[in-house]
Amino acid sequence: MTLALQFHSDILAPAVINGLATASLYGVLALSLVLVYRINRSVAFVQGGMATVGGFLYWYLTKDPAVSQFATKGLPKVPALGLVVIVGAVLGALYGSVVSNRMASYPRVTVTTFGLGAALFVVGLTGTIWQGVFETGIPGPFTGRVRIGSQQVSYHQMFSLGVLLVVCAALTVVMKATRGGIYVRAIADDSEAAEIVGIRVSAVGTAVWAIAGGLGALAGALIVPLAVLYETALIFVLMRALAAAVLGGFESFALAVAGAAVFGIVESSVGGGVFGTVNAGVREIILVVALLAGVVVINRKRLVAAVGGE
Amino acid sequence: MARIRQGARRYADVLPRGLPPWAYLVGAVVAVGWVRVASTTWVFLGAAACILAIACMGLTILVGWGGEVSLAQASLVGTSVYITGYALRADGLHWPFIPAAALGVVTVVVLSALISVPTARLSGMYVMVLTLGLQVTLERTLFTNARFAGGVESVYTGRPRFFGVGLDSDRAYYFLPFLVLVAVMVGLRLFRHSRHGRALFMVGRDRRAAAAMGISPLRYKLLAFMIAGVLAGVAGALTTPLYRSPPTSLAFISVQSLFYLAVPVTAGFGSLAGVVVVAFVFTMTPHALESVMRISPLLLGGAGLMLGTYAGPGGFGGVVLDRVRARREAGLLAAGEPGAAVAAPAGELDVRDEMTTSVGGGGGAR
Repeated sequence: MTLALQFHSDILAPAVINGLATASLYGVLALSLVLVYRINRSVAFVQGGMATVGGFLYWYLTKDPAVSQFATKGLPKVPALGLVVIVGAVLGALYGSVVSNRMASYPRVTVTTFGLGAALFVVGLTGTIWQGVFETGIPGPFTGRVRIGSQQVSYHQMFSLGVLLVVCAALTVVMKATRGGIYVRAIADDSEAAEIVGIRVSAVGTAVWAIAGGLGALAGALIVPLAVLYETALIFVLMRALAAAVLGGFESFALAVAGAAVFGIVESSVGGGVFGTVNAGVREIILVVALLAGVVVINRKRLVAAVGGE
Repeated sequence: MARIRQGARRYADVLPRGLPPWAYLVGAVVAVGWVRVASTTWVFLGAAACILAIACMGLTILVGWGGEVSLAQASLVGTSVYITGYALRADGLHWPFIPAAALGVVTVVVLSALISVPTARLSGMYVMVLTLGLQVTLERTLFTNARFAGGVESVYTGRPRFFGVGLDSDRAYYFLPFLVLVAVMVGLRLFRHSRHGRALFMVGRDRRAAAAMGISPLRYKLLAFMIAGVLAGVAGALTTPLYRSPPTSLAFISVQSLFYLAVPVTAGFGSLAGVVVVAFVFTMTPHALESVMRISPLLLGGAGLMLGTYAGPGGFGGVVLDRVRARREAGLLAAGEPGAAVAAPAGELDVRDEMTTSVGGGGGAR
């Protein structure tokens, strides 16, 4: 087997634009992962379930019943998107009330596994309610396209990018400049100490999970117009979001967005043929290598910090 | 003669204590006899449940005994399914079943050992991320390769014959995964009480204490991953002839790995028999309810994983056994028998009592 590395500079710019647009879709999910990690130091695999709920609910509410074999509602898209976010926030709050109260003292790995179970349960539930769904052509909240350079970008992608940047900026400000952000950081550092100084740990935790749930559902709703919707489709997107969050070190919202951008551009460039023809398998290997490198670097940083702190 | 007696006692130790001999006889008759009266659909599902139990016992060893975690078990099973199928098929290598299965198992064991290398110094959470990454990589590479997975064309894989006995019917084939499952349970029970089994438990319970006692955590971590790999490989090799043609790769995608993890978490990591029970329940319940409503097996798996984790280190199995033990102790205390407080009920409580896990409940290690 010969692997010839080529470079096609003429398609680099479109690949970068396409990568940024694609990254915005799983960047929102990556932000929710970082948000949860910052309060309870666990990887919120449950966000894959939240995205699934959001995606299915958005499809169910907005798809025109005349062109669907399912009894969808055909509601206006923007209000439906708002409803999806509210449902996601309520589910997130329910989940958060469990993990922030009864499971507050559980090890992180246990909480993470519980989240895996919740994701699996939600995926199974959507698959039970909407059996056999395999839908394409789900309309985004905004239709139409704009030309940027030689690349066509949809309004939906631009809207997603805008949402990503606004959410990232808002979360960064809230975490750095508000009392709520200080509470979250205090709980992440030492939840028992935070409780002693009067912070209502479970209430703050539930609120953070509600925000994360809303973001997860929003991410799912933003993704489905550009994907095929079926029972387990959005779990794949979770891997991309995880990669973005890991590249961002799970700590910084801005770095998570940067991670999503880097990952999106690399994926788009490799998949788009900037470096010659590369099959889907190699793209997945690149994903895992990026994950591995990110995880090893984070782990080493934490070890160094732990040794330094002793 | 003494050696024979010693060996017999060792194998007798495999059986749960406290059960009367007739209970074993009834159990064996039921396990074998139901195949004669049930429809072939149920027998087919029974074989699938035995295979699921074998794959999930790998996770019992890895997660429950070794204190590690893997979200790549379904991809390992799938790898073995497709490699074994390719080695068996007339348009592939056209090998006999045993060498073909061995190729599938060895491939998976090598993969599983490779997973353990980068995860050696990572915490459980990051191991989850990385193993999930491997899972997705395998499903996007090997599972999309038409040569192995069959693509859109259906490729036929025959069922094996042993000593002139054909296993072509579903009733006959059931006995192959069933006997392998029994052998795996006996083997794991013996391993659990061996020097290496105790060392693996020690590593899973307290890695630093194990290292202080001269046990290499890295070596036993590798061993746990390899045992999980062997069992995933065996499960995959048995799956290939069960379906006769390669099952769709959707049977081995990432959510299926969560489903696999749900089985031992629901059963509790102390009971191998519990894993078998939960595997049968998870496999057969959707079919049993089909006339009332169609439910996704993932729904059951998710509920089991959530409630099993929520219940504590022993999962549902642990909760049930705790109740049995409490009732038995209360009965013994009421009868005034000495040593009541330490008496264990029939079953596998001796295993559960010695284990902790990083996954279930609030008492985990990490």
